[in-house]
Amino acid sequence: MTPSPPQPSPAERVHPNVVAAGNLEMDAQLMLRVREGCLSSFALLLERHRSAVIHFLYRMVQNQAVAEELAQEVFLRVYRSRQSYEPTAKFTTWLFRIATHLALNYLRDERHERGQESLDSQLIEGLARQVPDRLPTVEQCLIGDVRRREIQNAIQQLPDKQRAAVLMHKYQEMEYSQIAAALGCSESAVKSLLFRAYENLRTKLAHLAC
Amino acid sequence: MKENVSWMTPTHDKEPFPCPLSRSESEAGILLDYCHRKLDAHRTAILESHLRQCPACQSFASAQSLVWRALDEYEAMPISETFDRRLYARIEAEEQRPTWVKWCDGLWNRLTVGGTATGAWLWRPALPVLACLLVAIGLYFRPSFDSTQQSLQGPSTDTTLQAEQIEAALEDLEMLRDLGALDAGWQRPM
Repeated sequence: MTPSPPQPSPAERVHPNVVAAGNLEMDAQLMLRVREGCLSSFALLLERHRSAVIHFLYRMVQNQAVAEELAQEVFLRVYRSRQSYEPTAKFTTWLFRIATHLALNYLRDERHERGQESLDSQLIEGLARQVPDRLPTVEQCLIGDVRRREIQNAIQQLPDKQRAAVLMHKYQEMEYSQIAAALGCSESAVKSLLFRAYENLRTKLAHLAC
Repeated sequence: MKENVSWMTPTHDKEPFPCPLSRSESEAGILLDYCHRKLDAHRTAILESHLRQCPACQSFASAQSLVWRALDEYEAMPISETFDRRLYARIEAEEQRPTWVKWCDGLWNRLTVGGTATGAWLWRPALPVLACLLVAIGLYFRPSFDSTQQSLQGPSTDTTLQAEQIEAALEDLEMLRDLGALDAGWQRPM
């Protein structure tokens, strides 16, 4: 009798799609170890994705405290879902779907609560935190500040889904299929969303070329 | 970006590569991919030869490159140093909750965000199907339930009626017998 081949541990049983790239494989395997109760693997996942998630949420909600609070909820949900986690696709797709879901819910609730409050006042609040210290002169600081304000304003004025799509496309360098999975829509819908979003941005930021 | 090759298929001789801007939004995305340097060398070469002839696409590409560079200037804020500590405190608090609360939370979490990267929101389309199924089951079992009720209530009502009828008949007989006795008593002196 030939001995049966050794069975892979749960951490090794990764979906073929996930093994395609080394980076994905690592995230998926870390998550599978978290499922087995390894908290240090969770710490590694947190280390790898903390900044990306918080920066994405910050650009979505334009408020650092809220972004961190939402990011905590994202990682808490990842931790809660460890038992049911199945590595059928990229870990980052799943992570950003949770983040997008929370951000869109927050924006919807906030819009509902604030009601008639002016959009400009929110912008001024957000911009107060944007002034960097490293610009050497007052003039450069002002120019840089104005540019950043205009860019931030242009992004903030995008519809929520368009904004989420642009942020994932530009800053997270996610594929159309990943953005589609995160937003719960088709790839062609994502392409249309992005086309319209960038069209808006081109219109609003055209004067920056001068 | 293999999905964006359809516009590159020659349609006729004079215009082998139709302008992406004349196509649908999703197909015009090829220009975005070009501006963001996500196209392979072959398709980049094809598109660049088109750009040399098309002022609209040139204008699009330069404006998009400007937007792309501008977005680079939008930096995020530094992350607070207490982020991890607060998160682990929440996880610890989470771990100390009763098991049934964790179970309910886990279930809700699974339904809303999914346990897999492709599995979330899959339950949503199932809801109308489930609702239809429940209605169908309800409709299917309703007549049989009624007939069961009838079959349960029917015999007992009949039995009650029969008993009442017998009782009434016995009373009538007794009354007739009494009348007969009275008649006999009344006729005897005659």
